[in-house]
Amino acid sequence: MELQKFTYDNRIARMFLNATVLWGIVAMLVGLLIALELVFPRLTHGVSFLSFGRLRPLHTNAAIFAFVGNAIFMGIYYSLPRLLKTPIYSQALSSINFWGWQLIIVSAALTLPFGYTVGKEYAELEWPIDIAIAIVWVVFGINLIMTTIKRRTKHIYVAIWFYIATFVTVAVLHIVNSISIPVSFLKSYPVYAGVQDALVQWWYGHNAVAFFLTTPFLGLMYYFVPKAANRPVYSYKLSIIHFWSLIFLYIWAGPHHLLYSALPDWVQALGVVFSVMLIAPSWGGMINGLLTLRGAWDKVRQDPVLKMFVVGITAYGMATFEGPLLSLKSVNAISHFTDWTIAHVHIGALGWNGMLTFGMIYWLLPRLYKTKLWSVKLANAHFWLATTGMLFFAIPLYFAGITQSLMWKEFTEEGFLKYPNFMETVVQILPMYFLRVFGGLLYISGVVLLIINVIKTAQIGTFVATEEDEAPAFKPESISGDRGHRRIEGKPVLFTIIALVVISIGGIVQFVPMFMVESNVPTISAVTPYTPLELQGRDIYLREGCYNCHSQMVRPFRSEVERYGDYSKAGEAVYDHPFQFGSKRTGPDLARAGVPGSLVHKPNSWHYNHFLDPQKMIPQSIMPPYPWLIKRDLDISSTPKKIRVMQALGVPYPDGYDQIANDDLMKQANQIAQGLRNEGIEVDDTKEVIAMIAYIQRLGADIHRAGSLTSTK
Amino acid sequence: MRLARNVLEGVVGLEIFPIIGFIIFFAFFIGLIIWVVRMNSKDADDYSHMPLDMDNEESLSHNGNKS
Ligand code: HEC
Repeated sequence: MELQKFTYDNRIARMFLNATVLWGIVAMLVGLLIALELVFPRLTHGVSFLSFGRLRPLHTNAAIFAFVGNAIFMGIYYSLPRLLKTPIYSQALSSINFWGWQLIIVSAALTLPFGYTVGKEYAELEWPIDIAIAIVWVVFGINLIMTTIKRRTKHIYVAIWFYIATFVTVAVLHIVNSISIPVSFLKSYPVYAGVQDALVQWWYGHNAVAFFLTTPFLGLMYYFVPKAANRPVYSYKLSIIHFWSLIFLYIWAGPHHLLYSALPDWVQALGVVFSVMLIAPSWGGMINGLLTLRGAWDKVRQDPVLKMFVVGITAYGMATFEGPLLSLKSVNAISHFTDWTIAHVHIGALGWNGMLTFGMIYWLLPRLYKTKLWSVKLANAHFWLATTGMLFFAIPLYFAGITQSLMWKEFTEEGFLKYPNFMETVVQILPMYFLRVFGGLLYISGVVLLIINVIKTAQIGTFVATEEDEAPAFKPESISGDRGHRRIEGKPVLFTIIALVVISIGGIVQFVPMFMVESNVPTISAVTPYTPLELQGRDIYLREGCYNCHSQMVRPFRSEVERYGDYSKAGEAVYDHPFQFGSKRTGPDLARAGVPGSLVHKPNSWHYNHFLDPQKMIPQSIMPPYPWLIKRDLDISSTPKKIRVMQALGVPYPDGYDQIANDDLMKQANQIAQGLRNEGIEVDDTKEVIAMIAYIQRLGADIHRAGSLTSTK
Repeated sequence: MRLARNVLEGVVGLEIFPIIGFIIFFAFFIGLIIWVVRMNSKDADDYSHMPLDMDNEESLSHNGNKS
């Protein structure tokens, strides 16, 4: 049979490799900074764009989309053409993919610290950037699918199924979750509100873990582990079963982030059932990965690449064992809102994604530069720093999470909360926060060694820009007689469509009833839209990223009702675009902060002084100071437009209210400011802090006023 | 929209959704198993060597060039 000659382009893989390393260290340094801020809350005192709430989204976005994202593209652009025996479909699209992605990352770095955010976790980027992400992602998808169509092999290898599932699912997730109405160039409100927004958001959030951090890396595992070990994958049949089960099950599991929340019980139950089942396909993948190394264990001991793969895949197994565990309601009651979650995700991020990425890079370097790795010793040192760093990071946080949760729940014999003062439970775990910083430092020093190796290997070698290969042409007739799975394996477009159907089922079954059946979100007549001042204050709450430390979701436990007040209802959040349930309680829950008489309620003057200087009010507080809220004037020019957008979203402000909203705003601001002045605080009506206080005092006030605050004592 | 809403409103017992969900998955899973069991093992073995077939450099044993 006649052989055709063609070339593989290594340049695009190298560009993504360099970007992975660069953004990796940036993401980790930002992580280190915010870890330090939790133990030294006044570290960046007064610098708004370095405060915890602003930087934490930058850290998560950079780690997920910049570090892991570039690593995904690196691995795919290297492996895809080789698995299909054809060049990448379009070099122009590859370039757009690369530069577009870097541009998105830079715009994230230029917006998030300055408070331009939607306020939805892991989907913080504002609408113009969201559109750019969608475009670049589709460019990547076209390149991926067209390359697959133009292949010379008969069969599409399992790694590529994972790539295709990644492409379709992330596209669907991103678009559905990001739909919002712009208020201005860098401000928008999501179309969903309250529990519905929460459901969509965690469907997205959970599946970002599944289809951005997991499936592409499983695909990469199926290429790079066999390559590095020089053995075929352990069981190809297992890979088929595990692939389809994994993508089918994952999409249902999002509600496990909302257990005991105001989300209807049936959705929560779905989330639990599917999360528990997920362990099977996840471990199928882990077993397939690890057993691929059977008989190669002598090599594993010497080769840093294989060592990293082994630890990475093991971390994947740990994280996917822990995931179903954390989805059990009884475990979740303890783990949720604590550092346990942070530990869990870092086993995944530092172990699974980090180790696999480093392994791939160490494997690629000698091949891209046609030389030996500059220093295997250094790579081995990196392996040990990364492994111990990960453990020093995660173990203290497991301990911190469990300790703090148990303290929150502990009652005295007389039936009172043993630790009614929230700060007591924080002070207890501060030593663990110090250890986490140490773990992070170890991990980052490992990455510094990686950077040295990248630079040095590039210097001693010569870059192989293109590699030649040859293969016979692909004849469509050759697969026309195929049946069963082989048939779809030969047809990338059909395959993509089937994958799309499979990943849609779970979402549809959960969303349609949630949005259609009114009884799922029982309305509470006492709940009315925010006043213009409160709405502005709420936008400051989003801008400052307060949700990174504060939840607004009192779960129906005695310990929480006692500490915060009546548990949260679905009907309370119907005007919350976006919802602000939060996922972590570094500070106390604020859902009842506006309910007089509750433990969390404070007078306006207290809030004023607390925002100015939390440590003056609560000496051991780890909340950052917000002096700029005191100094800055509130921008009220945006009020009419905000009201109109809210009306478009179905929030029942009266017709024409946008025109008079600022009058109401000024009136309410004057009231609050006058109250503060009466207590001797020098403050103008126009300051941002006034709006913020108005918002905080509104939290939970509606149902309290309605007298529905039932005492469960 | 309203019509769909009314129809869905009538769906009693949303509580059975997890069970339905499980059944859908179970059926899917059984189908999958049957599919895979019937798959030709020789093909599966060939496919599993795909990453290794490619390269020039260090491919050990298997150099099966099919097609
Ligand atoms: C780094 C995490 C962190 C961030 C970010 C943060 N807080 Fe806090 N917050 C805390 C901690 C810890 C406490 C408890 C100690 C204290 O009162 O200072 C607290 C307490 C509070 C309280 C008092 C609650 C009570 O019952 O005593 C309010 C109100 C509050 N925060 C509002 C906010 C707002 C509004 C923002 C955003 C502008 C914000 N916090 C940002 C950690 C944080």
